[in-house]
Amino acid sequence: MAISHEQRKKLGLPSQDAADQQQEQTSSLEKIEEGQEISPDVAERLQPQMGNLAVQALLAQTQSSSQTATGTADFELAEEIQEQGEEYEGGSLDVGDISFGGGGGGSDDGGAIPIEMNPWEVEHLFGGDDDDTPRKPTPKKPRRAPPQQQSVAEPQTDLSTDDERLPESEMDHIEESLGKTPVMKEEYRAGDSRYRAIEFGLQTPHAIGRRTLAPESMIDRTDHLDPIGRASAIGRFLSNNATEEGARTVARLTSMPAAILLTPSTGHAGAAARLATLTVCAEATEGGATHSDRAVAVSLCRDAWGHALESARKVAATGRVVAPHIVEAAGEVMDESQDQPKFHMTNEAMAAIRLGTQALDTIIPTPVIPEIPSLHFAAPPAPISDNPAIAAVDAALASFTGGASSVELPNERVLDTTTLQPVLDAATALVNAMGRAQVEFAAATIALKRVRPGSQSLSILKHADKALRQLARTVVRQGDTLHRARGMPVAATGDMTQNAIESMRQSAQSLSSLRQWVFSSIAEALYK
Amino acid sequence: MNLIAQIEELENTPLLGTGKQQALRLADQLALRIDPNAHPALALRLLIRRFQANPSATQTTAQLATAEAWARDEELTILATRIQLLWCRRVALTSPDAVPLAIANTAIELAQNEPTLGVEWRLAQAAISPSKARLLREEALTLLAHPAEDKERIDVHLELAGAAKAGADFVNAEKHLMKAMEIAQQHDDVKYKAICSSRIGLQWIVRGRIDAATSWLEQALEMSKLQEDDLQIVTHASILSAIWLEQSDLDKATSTADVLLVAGARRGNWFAVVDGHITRSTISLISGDTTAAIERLVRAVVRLRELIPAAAINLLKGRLAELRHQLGSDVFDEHYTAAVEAHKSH
Repeated sequence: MAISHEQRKKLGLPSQDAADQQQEQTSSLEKIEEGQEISPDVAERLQPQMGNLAVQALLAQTQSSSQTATGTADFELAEEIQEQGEEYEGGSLDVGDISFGGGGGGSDDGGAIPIEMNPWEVEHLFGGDDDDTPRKPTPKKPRRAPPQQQSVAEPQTDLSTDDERLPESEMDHIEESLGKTPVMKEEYRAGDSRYRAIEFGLQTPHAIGRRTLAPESMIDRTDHLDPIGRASAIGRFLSNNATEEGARTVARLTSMPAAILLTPSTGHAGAAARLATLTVCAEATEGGATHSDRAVAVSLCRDAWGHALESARKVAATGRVVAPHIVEAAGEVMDESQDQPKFHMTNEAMAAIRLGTQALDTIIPTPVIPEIPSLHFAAPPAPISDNPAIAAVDAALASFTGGASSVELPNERVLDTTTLQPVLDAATALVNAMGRAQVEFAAATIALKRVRPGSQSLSILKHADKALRQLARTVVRQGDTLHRARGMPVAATGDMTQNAIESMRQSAQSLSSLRQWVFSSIAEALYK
Repeated sequence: MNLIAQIEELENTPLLGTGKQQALRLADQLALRIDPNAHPALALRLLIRRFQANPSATQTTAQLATAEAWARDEELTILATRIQLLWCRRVALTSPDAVPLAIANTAIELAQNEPTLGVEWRLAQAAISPSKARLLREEALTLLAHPAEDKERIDVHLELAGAAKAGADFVNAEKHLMKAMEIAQQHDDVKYKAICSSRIGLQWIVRGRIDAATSWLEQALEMSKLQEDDLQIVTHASILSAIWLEQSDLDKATSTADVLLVAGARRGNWFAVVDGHITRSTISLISGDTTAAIERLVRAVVRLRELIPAAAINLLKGRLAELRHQLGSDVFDEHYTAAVEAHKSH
């Protein structure tokens, strides 16, 4: 079966043979003595290896490191990744030897992913031709329905029913007699008028005026482009995530609008005005002005994940499902200027960044980062009884029931496929989670660009991409190590298997830390 | 009276109502008299009390970090630990991620062996460990017996009420809010009375009990006016004007809407201004003055169109369209023409 080789090629992973060769080369590199001159080709091989180890070590550190007085461990991690990345690998996205996506199992069309699969998924990473047990085909997952695509920048859609909607003529008459509404000058934006996240739901008067106001139909309105639904959506976000208790309390009122706020006598427009008033009050109570308002706007970019997923499918054909490419495929411009993230913040800014991070968590579905299981062996044979009579009876029973000769030594424990497979499956799932992380980071960037066009996040994505590659490389190497140990006696492997599993677990934890760092860095980019 | 006695007096003065003003005046006087080099411990105790009086002020939080380093230099370990715990609690309540857990845990461990820091370590730990927060805060309440600690007691009751409300435990939330209100009333502290009455009122609104909410919200509005707190005025006036309209109390609705218009404009919350205009227009409509109802909205559109967000103007236009539909185009247009004329003659 040639699946493994094909898939490795599509992923840009070294083949198992290449991995063996690389290991040999690594061994020879380890023999280089201090002061000894090395040839350019050896140096070239050595360089990414050093970068890998450095970044790996840094990522591993975050699992145990606690926060410091000057900031969170995540910020320090980012700073160190940045320094290390620049030192060892430069800033190019084209350096990696691992690319995400394009998985799907050696199809005849050159490896394009089947449409049913997620673009980052690979089914089978370890093993291949020499597998003794055929793998069960993984059932195809049904493709998710394409998400509703409404950007915050797109014109507002009137989602009211025919019964509720006012005849166009009513609104047109008012528009004609009063004239078009001019856009407010930016210099007038002061005080609470800086809180403008609610305004996207009120872009046209046509969506505001309605025949009647039925409070019972408003309570569970969730559409974030509807005048009342948007206030509810902001209320839900702030009631769960605002720092200030006062803001949470007011937001709770609008999250499932209390009936009293929807007084029929003031009509739909009056109810929308009241909810908009209270939405601004909730934001103002939270504080943070434009900063926290942007975080609120990000929490409403629900289509960012859907757009990222769709764009990832497009770029999957190239086999390089990496965040910057996905963002560009979604129609956003990646700024090439070298932005330098800031890591030392005031407490107030930290609160606003925290709100932004939570907004990103709200719009991006939470991934499952797999746990790497331990190896589970069959229970060892029971020790021979001290009582010679019982021992003799046990031996006779073993001989009759299991065909075991009483004079033979018990079977040696070996690493068989059944024992190794759960770990290798978890490793594959972990590499998939890393591929998915590229789409998550792209979705976060798309939301950022839509709320604040021109904001810079390329360097964050570059660092994240490098770190993901290094992590994936580590997992694949450890998986290969385990796979090569198949059939070996357990006694002969020593700590090797446990070390490989521990290394994979550390990579899983590092992925969590990296995800957190990227989200908080992107949230920080909202404010720069 | 010597300095030590005066610092003790400062520490024994409640930081609520008029007591707070006295305490802050005394603190200002003492700050001029205490030589920090000669009496570092007294200076630090003064700083701590100032922080306790105004914990939300940015500069006081920043001062704590400097004060802690100074206390360490002077080897005043208990004071340094106390300052660390106060800082950790304050920061954790607003930015939990910014608290260095290793430092916080070390300070908590130290404080657990120091009987005078029983409240501080419990409240710091409650702020960083949500799972143990309720128990720790309840324990802290039992240790806060002195009237000088009443402000702390209110804060803890409010924190417990917030946590209970988040878990939809409205009964306990109300219990803690009422206790906080009781303490605030004892000291006639306007700020805390406003906070408590607002939260109690808003909680009743969420539960759909308008009858129970109204008097609390009225109280909160009055307290907000006393403090000239426009943000709170807008919040309460917007809700109350809807309540008065619903209850057909047009006088109260009118005065509340007027308050909303003024406070909204001062805050730059233009939706509040529009909300006020729509309420006033509705009152005119209910009173039978259709022309005035239309004129108010038209006037608002014409006067504010260049100055406020288009979204707010759209609300006014949307309301006008609703009225046209409600009244019928002939009746509306007749009143509309009259309204435009009335506006021109203004």
